[in-house]
Amino acid sequence: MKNPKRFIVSNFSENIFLIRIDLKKEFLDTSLFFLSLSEFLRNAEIWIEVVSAEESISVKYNCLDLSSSSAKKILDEQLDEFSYQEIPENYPLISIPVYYSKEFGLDIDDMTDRLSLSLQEIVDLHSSITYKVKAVGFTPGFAYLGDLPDQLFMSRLDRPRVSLLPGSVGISENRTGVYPFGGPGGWRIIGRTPKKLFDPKKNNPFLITAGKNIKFEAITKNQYEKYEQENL
Amino acid sequence: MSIEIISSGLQTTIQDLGRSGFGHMGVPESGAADKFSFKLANFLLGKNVASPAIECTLTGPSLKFLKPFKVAITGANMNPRVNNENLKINKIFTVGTNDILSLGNCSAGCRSYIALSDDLVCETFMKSASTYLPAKLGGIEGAPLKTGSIINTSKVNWNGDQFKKVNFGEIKTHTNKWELRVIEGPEFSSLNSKSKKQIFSSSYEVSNDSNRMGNRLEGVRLGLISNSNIKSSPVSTGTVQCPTNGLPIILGCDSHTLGGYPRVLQIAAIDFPLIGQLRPRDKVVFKRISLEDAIQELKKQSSLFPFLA
Repeated sequence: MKNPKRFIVSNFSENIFLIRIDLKKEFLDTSLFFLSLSEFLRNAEIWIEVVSAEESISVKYNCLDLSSSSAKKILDEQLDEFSYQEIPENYPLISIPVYYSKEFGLDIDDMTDRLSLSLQEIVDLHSSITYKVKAVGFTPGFAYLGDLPDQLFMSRLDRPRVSLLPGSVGISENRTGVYPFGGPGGWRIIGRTPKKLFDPKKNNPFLITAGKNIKFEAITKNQYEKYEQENL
Repeated sequence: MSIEIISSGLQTTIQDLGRSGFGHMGVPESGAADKFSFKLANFLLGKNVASPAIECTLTGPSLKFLKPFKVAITGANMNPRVNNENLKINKIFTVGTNDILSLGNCSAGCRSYIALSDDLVCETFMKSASTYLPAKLGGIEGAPLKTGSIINTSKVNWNGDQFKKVNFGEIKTHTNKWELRVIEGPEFSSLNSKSKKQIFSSSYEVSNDSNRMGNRLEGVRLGLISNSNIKSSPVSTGTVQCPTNGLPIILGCDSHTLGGYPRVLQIAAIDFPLIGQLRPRDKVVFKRISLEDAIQELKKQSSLFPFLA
């Protein structure tokens, strides 16, 4: 991907800029570009927080110390300087065991109805792909993985659930991801993994980071319970 | 062994100013839900305003002190008492060994802060002691304080003997009917033309499904133009999302870092502390201000209250 010169910078709030690019027609998937740009922007110390999403980046600064126009000038210079480099993919494949089932898959019934697929077909489709990390965030340890097979395309729920079980595996449009711990979420839930995606006690608490490849592997209820017991 | 938790209260956690700079890993900012009251409590004691303090929610705890301290309580008024004597909030007082501080309920506001002259001994994750309950980070075992447990403290060189001057008259009084100042969010245009007006003319009610991550609102359902869900995009404290069901959600200090529902409004940073004081069944109206005014208000506030900077 060439370096776009068509950055669109807008004010998200008093102290946050939002950076987008006008590339939609040429590039459908801008996620890797933004991951690379956000790493570059993070080199400048004046940014308190640089959060990368698939089609935009937010950049936060201290608006009591720095006027919006001075901050914008620094940002424009950085955007000018940036040249896109793909994040190297030399990591081993991460396998995530999933117990796909109606028991944990709160939306399996709805999906088999609306997609005209059996549970087994959903499992086969979901576990057939080697996924790439498209964005990292939402909560610690959550990553947006893609692309999901077209046959599994469903929008997110009209009203997000208040509380999910830790390890719930969800899908939304062409993305899939794992909710590392309980909490609210609006994605359709198809199963659950016993694997920890975030462990604050580890040196590197985050299992999935940019550049890694991920595959889901179907397991039985017995295997799920055994894994859970062994990894307490 | 410095403080014994006689009763825990509804949700009592250790908080500080939170974790900055880790949003790209999905780690929320967290910290005290009302950072104004939090800083005020430390400031009154002459401490570093970022020192960890105790955040109480709706119903406060009872604490037994196992050694003497200076204490300051700010935020929602939970009618604090030492032994059986009523105390005023926003003042320093001294407690002795075996004194019991009890906080009750509050009728307005949601969160109260207890700061002590000594430092609380707690766990840190990514440079902050802030308790983030979903991932069990910070505080004490990443959890609310438990009845019967003990908090340890470490002595600090206390130099706050002189009462700090504060413009108390300028502090917003807590209410059950809040006006939150907002600017338009990136997807304000996803609202249909009727709802672009309704969002400012309606009064919303804070739902029971509210916590430090977000306050769900009930009231007039807003209409969105079709295909208004977006690719997951950055959100922050103060972002007002509108899911397809049309009922807005105000994201709080434990807000997730990315979200896919339209971001219709952004609450002005000056009013972030008020988000931490919303209690279930409170009424909320949104008042539109310009971005320039939002910055000016923030500057005005930090000159009125120099401890905020």
